[in-house]
Amino acid sequence: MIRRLLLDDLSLMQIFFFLSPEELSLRVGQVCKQWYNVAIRNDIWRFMCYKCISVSGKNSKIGVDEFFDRNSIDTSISEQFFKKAYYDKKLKTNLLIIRNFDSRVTVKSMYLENDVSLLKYIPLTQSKEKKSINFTVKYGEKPEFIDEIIRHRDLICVSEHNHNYVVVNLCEVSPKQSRKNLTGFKILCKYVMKLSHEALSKSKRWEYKLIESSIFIQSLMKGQKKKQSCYDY
Amino acid sequence: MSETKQVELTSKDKVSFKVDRDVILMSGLVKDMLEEGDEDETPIIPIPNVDSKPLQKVIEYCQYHHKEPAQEIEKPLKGKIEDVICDWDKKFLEIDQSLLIELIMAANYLNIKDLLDLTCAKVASMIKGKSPEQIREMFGIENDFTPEEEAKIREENKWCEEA
Repeated sequence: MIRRLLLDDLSLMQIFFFLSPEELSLRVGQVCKQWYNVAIRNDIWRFMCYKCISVSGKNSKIGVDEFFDRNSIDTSISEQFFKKAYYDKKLKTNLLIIRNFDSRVTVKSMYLENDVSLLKYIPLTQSKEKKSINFTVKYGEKPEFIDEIIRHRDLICVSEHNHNYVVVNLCEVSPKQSRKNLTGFKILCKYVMKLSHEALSKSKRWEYKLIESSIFIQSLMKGQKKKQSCYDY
Repeated sequence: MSETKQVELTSKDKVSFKVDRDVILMSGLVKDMLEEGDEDETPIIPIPNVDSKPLQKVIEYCQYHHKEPAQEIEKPLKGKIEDVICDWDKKFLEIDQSLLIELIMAANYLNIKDLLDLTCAKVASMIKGKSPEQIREMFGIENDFTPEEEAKIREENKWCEEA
C-alpha cells in the first residue's frame, strides 16, 4: 500500500541525520523539492563536517556546537556552506598520490569536456581503502600530451583538490620514500587547475596553468582572496 | 503513595490514558507541563496533536524504556537498524508505515528523544540504498522537480559521486 509520506521539515531532518553524506546528496536530495531543501540544510552538513573532522582528528570529545564555537571564523554562512565544506574537507584530508597508472585505469569523465588535455587527468574517485585511486584518462585528440604524461607515469601525484583548485604534481620518487609522505617527493613540475567561476558552464569552468614556482602554490593555498586575484581571467 | 502518582493523557480523538507519572516523564513536553506546578491528584494533560493509536504506542515505549534506557543509535547509521537495537525495539517497530510516521511526529511533539531517534533511524534504514525513484514509490511522493532543476541538482552533486 502506498501512503503519502507527510512529514514536516523538522522530522525529515531528524531522519536525514542517520543517513550518509553520499546518500543525502545523490539519492534523498533528488526525491522531491521538500526533501532536497531539507537535505542541503546547514544543520545537517554542519554535523557531517564535525563528524568528518572529529573522526580524523583529536576533537572527538567535544560536541558539535562547542567544536564550531572554537573553530569557526566566518559567521556569514551561505546556503550549502557546510555541504561544500564537508566535501572540501573530505577530499583534502585524503592526500592523493597516483602512481603506476596505466591504460587499464577506468575512464570516467566527471569534470569536464574541456579541450585542455591535462584536465582529463584529474582523479575522480578514491577507493575506500585509500590504496588506489581511479584516475581519469581520456584518450583524446592530443596524443603528444598523453605521451608526456605516460612518460612520467610513475611520477604523478595530485596533492590537493577541492572545489576551487586541483594541483597535479609530476615528481621524482625514490624507492625509500613513503607513499604517505609527500615531502619526500621532488616535484618536477606542477599543474594547477582551478575552478574559475561557478557561474560559468561546466565545460568552461576549469582553467589551468603550468607553474614552476612552488612559492606561488603556497600563496595559492593560503588565501582564497589572493588566489582569486591571481587567477581571474 | 507518591510513587504511584498518575497522569491522565487525552489524545486528539478524546481517548484517555492513565499513566504512571514516572513513566511519562520521559516526554520533555509532559515534564515541562508537570513542572509548571499542577498540584492535582491526577492531572489531565491534553495531547491535541496525537491520535490514540500512536499515543498508545508511545506509552508502551515509555513503560518499557523508563527503566531500561535505550542505547544511543549512531549517526550516520551504519548498516541496518536491526543490528544496533534491542529485541524489544525490533518488535516495537513491527508496525505499518503510516503508524511509524505518526510515531515520529508524536515523538517530536512530545519531545521523547530516544523514541524519535529510534523511529527516525528506522525510516532512514528503509531509505538506505534505494534510488530516488524507489523512495518516491515507497512513500508515495510526487516528483515535483522540473527537468532543469533535476539537472542542476545533479550538477551540484558531481563532487560526491560514489566510488
